[in-house]
Amino acid sequence: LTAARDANETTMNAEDCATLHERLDLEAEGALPPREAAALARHLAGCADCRAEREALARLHRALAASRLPVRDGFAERVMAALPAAGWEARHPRAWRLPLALLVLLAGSAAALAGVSSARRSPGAP
Amino acid sequence: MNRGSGSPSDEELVTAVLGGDRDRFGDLVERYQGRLVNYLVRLLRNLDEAHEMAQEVFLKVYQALDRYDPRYRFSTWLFRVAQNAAIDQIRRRRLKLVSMHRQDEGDDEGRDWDLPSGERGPYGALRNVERGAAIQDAIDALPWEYRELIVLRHYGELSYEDIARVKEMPLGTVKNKLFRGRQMLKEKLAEFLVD
Repeated sequence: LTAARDANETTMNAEDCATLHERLDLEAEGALPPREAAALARHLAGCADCRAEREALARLHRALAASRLPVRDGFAERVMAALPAAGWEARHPRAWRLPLALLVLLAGSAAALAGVSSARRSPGAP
Repeated sequence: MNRGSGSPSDEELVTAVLGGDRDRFGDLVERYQGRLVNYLVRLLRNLDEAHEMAQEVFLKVYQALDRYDPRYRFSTWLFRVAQNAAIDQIRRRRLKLVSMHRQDEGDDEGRDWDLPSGERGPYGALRNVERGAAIQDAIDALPWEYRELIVLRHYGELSYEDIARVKEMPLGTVKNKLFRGRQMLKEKLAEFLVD
């Protein structure tokens, strides 16, 4: 009975750790809700394997961030110099541009408001 | 993309450009050039091509700016255009999307990809070159569905929500694929992930 119980607890711990690795991944991204983060911290205090996993993840994030390359000097200037004299402007007479810009701004504001409202309904997203 | 209070949002910059202030497009280029070039270089494995394609993407976006749908984020649109351009380019080069592993002389380009780090001296520099090449190889070895999400997240620096929009995937799927992708990377890079 004792052996069976120990085996069962071992399996449960293994499952817990595997599940918690997903939470560690979210934690590394700053995307873990505070309540789950507190539970994770309690588990980490007593689990060396998960602490090692957390450190390995942090190292991976640092290595990926450090592998970003600098953009070559003058890139933005070259892009601006290559812009066509009449790109989207050719489709719109000058008189239409202000109303078009206002339309974009209004629609963007509406979308942002909708986004805020949606984010309030679904916490936990990064 | 949310910016600090002193910095105009992407949508405000688009509005300014559409109102006739063409130079504000330069602000958008400055804002996204690093993320776009890094995203493209990890997919194309060529720094020159990544810069050329990033320029093409900016020009394409500029030319279609009046068709920008402000219900979506500018970053989502930009990276969707970039993604399509990169995939077209990869197809044109007839490279396999899964497990691309270059074996021609172009592999020398990896030497440009030294990681900036505090490691000094010849051994530190060699370690950086090796680690840079190992990271690229590990990314290349990922199945495409994981690879493009990893690159969008870690080099395009898109949020999970933006990735879900670019890929038209549920947010939970994005989280799961990124988790699995990072697990694969961690295994492949184990020997380099030591301080």
